Amino acid sequence: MHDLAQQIVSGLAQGSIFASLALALVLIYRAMGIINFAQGELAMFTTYIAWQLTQMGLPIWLAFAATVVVAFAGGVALERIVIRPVERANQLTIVIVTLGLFISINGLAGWFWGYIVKAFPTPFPTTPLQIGGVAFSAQDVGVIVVSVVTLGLISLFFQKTKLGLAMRAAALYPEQSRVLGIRVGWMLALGWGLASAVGAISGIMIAPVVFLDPNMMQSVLVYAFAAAVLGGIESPLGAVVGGLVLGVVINLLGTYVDAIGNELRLAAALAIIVVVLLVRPAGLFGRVTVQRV
Amino acid sequence: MPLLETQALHGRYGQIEAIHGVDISVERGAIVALLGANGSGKTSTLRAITGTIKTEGTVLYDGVALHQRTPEGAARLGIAHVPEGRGTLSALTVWENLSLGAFTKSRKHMQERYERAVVYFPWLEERKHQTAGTLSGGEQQMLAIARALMMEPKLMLLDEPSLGLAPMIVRQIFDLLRKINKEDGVSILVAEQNATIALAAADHAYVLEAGHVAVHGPGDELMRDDRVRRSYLGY
Repeated sequence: MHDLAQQIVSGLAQGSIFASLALALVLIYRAMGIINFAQGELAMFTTYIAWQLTQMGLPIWLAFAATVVVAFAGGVALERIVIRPVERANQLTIVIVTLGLFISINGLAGWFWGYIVKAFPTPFPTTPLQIGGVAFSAQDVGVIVVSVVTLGLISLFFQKTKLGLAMRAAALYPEQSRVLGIRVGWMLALGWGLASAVGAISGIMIAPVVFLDPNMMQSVLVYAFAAAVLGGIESPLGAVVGGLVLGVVINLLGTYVDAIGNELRLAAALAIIVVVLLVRPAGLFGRVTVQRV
Repeated sequence: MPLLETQALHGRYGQIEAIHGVDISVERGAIVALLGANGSGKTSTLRAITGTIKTEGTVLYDGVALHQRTPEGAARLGIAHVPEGRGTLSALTVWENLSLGAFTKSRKHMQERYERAVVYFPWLEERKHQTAGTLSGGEQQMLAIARALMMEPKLMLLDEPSLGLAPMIVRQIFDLLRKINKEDGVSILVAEQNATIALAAADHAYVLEAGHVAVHGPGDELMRDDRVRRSYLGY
């Protein structure tokens, strides 16, 4: 029983990282109707920035906060400079641009910091937490707490603030929003900034576990994509639930089903994508769109 | 000096030009109707004024030429465009729709505007938290007008507010528009296919044909004009 509880918590921890990156994907998808394939690489790059800051002597939590701010600004700048010129192009063009970003950012990180795997300091205590007689890893519990707080803040922002409302309107109804005086282009840029900030948090949370290297986020991106598809690619709540469910399921499958083990977890995630797309393309929380023809 | 004046206004969708030099003007405090058949360029004229489509020509607003027009820029200058099909943000609530109308204003100012809108549309208060898409067509049109009022406009551009609505609702909407025009001093430019009701409300009217102004004059004069009567009023 203890073992199961530990596995579930550790699955939730992984899942909340998937959830954060999945939320980043959903934010961009809702605004532009595309998957930002560079989302994971952006998270990786900003995690390197956090590492660099700790190397310069900043305490990890301070580096964490500074990195989130830098990630936000970087996301905004990237949208304004790279995405804006192709904003009105068809979606395939934008997807190709994000693939280009994927490769460029990956190469840039390798060029700056090299491909040698680096240890990343954990912001959490290393002694296990005793909860109800079961020892949980403080890392796992900390990751869950940080992710839940992040996702809660994002949700509050979208539900309770005027700017959040304007961003939702701009994503859903760009033409009508412009007529109301909303600068839709800037809302898009803010969306990129937010997505990049949330992605940075996922990167920093997972880096102590998978270590730092330029390819560290690539499998996480696949999990995040699976989580977003599972929850419904247009639903932020779906991304979070999808991420948590996926984290737990993958972890339990990996632990208790010998045939899957560690090696086939990613394949299991891909299988989930395929099955969801076949059985329920709109995902758990997605709305089925009916189009009049 | 009129509040709005267009000079040789052209509007294009890609390569296709929809209006070819439209000159209209809206006096301060006036209701002006833009009449014409389907495809005559009513919607395009409104869109060209706010820069929603590619345009050439001059738009003078409050005596100042609007260069590089954009819809968000026009909105910030006090031009509230209620687009064809009402532009209701159907997945959002009534209150969210309204508060987006006052997006550029402070919270206090927003509240003031809301209280003003409720004077004309008292039912908004109790339906605040309803999803806009579940309102009837007439209610959605009224919500769109209320949202335009939230913008504290000097000029309201309305695109076929009668579209798809029952005659009684259409009358109700035009009565409210007249009231808003009189009491809030909002000038109104309304594109309509329903010429009878639009002419009855309008101080001045323009009839568009194939992207040009064919006839224009005071509302009651046009109502007596044989050509206009035969073509648009049907008697």
